[in-house]
Amino acid sequence: MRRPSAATLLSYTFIAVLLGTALFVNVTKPRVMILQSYDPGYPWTREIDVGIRRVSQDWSSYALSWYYMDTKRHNDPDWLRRAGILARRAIDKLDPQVLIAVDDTAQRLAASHYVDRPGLAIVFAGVNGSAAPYGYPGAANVTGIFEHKPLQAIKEIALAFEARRPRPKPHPRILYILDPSPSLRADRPYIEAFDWTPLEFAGSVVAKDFPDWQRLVRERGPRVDYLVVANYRKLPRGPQDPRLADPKRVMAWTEAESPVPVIGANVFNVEDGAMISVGASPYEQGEVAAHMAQRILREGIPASAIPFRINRQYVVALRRSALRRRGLRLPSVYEAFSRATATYLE
Amino acid sequence: MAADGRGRPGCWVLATLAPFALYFGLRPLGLDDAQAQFIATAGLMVLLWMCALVPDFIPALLGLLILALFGVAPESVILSGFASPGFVLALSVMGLGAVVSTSGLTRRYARFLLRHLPPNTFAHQAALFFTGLLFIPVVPTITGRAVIVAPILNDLAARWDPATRARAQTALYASGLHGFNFLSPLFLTGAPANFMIYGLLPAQEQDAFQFVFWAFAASVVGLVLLAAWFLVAALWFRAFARVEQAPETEFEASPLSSREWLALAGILALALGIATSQWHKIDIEMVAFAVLLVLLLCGALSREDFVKRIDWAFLFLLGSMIGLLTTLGHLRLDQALMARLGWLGHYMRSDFPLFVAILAGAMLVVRQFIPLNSAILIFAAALIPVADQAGVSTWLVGFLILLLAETALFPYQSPYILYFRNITRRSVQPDERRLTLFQAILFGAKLLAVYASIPFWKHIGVL
Repeated sequence: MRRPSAATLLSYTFIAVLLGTALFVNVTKPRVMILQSYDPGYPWTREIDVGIRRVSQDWSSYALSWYYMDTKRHNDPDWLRRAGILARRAIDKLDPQVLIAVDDTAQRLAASHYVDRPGLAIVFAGVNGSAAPYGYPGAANVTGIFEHKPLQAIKEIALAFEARRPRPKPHPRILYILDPSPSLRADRPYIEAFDWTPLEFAGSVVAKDFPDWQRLVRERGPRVDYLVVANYRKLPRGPQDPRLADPKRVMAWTEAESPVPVIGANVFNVEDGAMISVGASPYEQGEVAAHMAQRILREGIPASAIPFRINRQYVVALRRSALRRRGLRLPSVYEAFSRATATYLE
Repeated sequence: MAADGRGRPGCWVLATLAPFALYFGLRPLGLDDAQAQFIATAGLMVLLWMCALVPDFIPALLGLLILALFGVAPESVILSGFASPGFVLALSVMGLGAVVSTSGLTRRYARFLLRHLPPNTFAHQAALFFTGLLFIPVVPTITGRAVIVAPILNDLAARWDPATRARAQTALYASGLHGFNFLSPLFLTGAPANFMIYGLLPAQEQDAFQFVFWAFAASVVGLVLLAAWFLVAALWFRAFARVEQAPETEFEASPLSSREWLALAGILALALGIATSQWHKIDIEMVAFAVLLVLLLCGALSREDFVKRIDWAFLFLLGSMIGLLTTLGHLRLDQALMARLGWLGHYMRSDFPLFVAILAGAMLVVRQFIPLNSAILIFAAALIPVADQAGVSTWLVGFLILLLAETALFPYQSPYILYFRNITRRSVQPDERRLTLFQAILFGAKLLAVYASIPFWKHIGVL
């Protein structure tokens, strides 16, 4: 057999070194997976991603991957079963060191299956109620940030409106209307337990579908002074039509037909057509979750060494034309804040 | 084809006027300027494909050019197909296929096979069928596999006595033809059109349906089709016969050449890279690209073979189509499409078996007058965005399109059938009527296989 020349041996060495290095870098690179409950077109999800990217843009040494479960546009039991299987398969395949799981569905269908899994840290974000249903409290590999509705800010907005009316009421009534989504139901006890004084909390009502939502707005609206809405993306079009109603159509109808002012509890409500909304900052959710992931990877600490956090920031969004139509006024700081966060619409 | 196409003045007049008619007709319907321009361009492309005025990759390139010239979307979006994972994977596997087919490895395999086959028609048919099947994952062009299978068929037929040949030649021909083609949708790397479907899938779905999971998800369909093929072939052709042992062919057992070793090493490296992807986390297209690069660095493919043996026309078609579909998403036309084809998405979700039946019927009709790749492109471009919006696995819809479109009842429906018939014409003259009916029965078997797979797809979360 002919002996290979030195050049041939060197060329094979070159290839082996090149491939070996590439393999080593890939195998040892820490992996972070962001598991979103919804789809990238959903404003809340989109803005959380913005928050995560603000931190992750400096992560040149980590491999990042996103997975969207798309459970806002589709939420029937079949889809949820499938979304859970696919998300868990994606996690198993990527085998990340840190899993950032966003919103309740991702916790319920996927992340909660990995509690106390060695080698995997879970950072949750966007959890509305308690983390107990997912087995997170006391778990060795879990930390995260809650997403509680900024009820104090909603109360202050209602009071600010009221103070500028010709005849302000001392105890204006406020009603919360929600769709049948699990995340809103999870929030409901927290909202009902909140100290709304001096407002009078008239309770919360769940609409079964869009016609029911319209009925509630028309029938219950005149009995209160303000309506609060958070989300309406899981409203079926009708009792016989399980397809989901277009959220922009729902919000535009609500804003146009409600006899009383409507205050949104999510920033994107204004993008959908609402007059004003104040919501937990999606940027904070993303940034805090990404910072937690960063600490786990850089400092090598267990996730449980980082305490759970409550959200602190909120964002105000305004639609000027709707405010004018109702003849309502607010302190100018609201407009300034809204303009600063690019959530002020004409 | 191009020369024939240029001889159709009516088509060229239509191609000149249709985009303007579409554009001005669509503007009042609420579409913005860019959306109307995109649809007018897409309409022009479909027309050029349907009239077969020019080779199929030219309308796609023309589409890119028009969109870029009119500024319908940023160039980075329009040309994104050429930087996509699907494009890189197709280029790499086609390169590996070129190395395999030029190395001499396939000829060595054919000689080995001919020496060791038992002397009966069934063994010959099975060997021919499984030879085609064996090369589906590593030689991604159908004509490339036809080139491997045809000489074996010719050799086998030459060994048969005239009576056996007269009785079993249609069965032998069908074994060769279907071996390299019938099950090609089962493997991601089985056909150029598979890369096209892969390239059109959303990124998340591409990540999930890389080589192994694609084959796994298609496995029940594959097993049912394999069983159905042999059962139907046995009952339909009834061609079993003993063959007189032919004299040994001249076969000098030479050692493997360095190019054969490289081709073998390339196949093994790709298989190993795929099998260990859970560990190294490198995307499959990058594994395939690395294998190709190493083979090129080792001199496994000359510059001339690199130019000649890779189907660049298809790669341009693929890159253009991925870019066009990305542009469609960029312009939010997928949502507009869903708004108009929502009823179809509803059927996909609520009554999947009915959707399969509708798709099969439509495909059977459309394939009578639209070429294979164009039919796949048109169906995929319309249905994959609808599936995505409706919450149905886009891979599943793409796989169904591939499986059902790959049905040619008549030779004119597929260029590779004509090609295979030409290169085997001297050895076998198959009975066309029996073959057409055989293909029709197999179309029914495909539907059966799809329906039989539904519980499996539900179990693994695909459906």
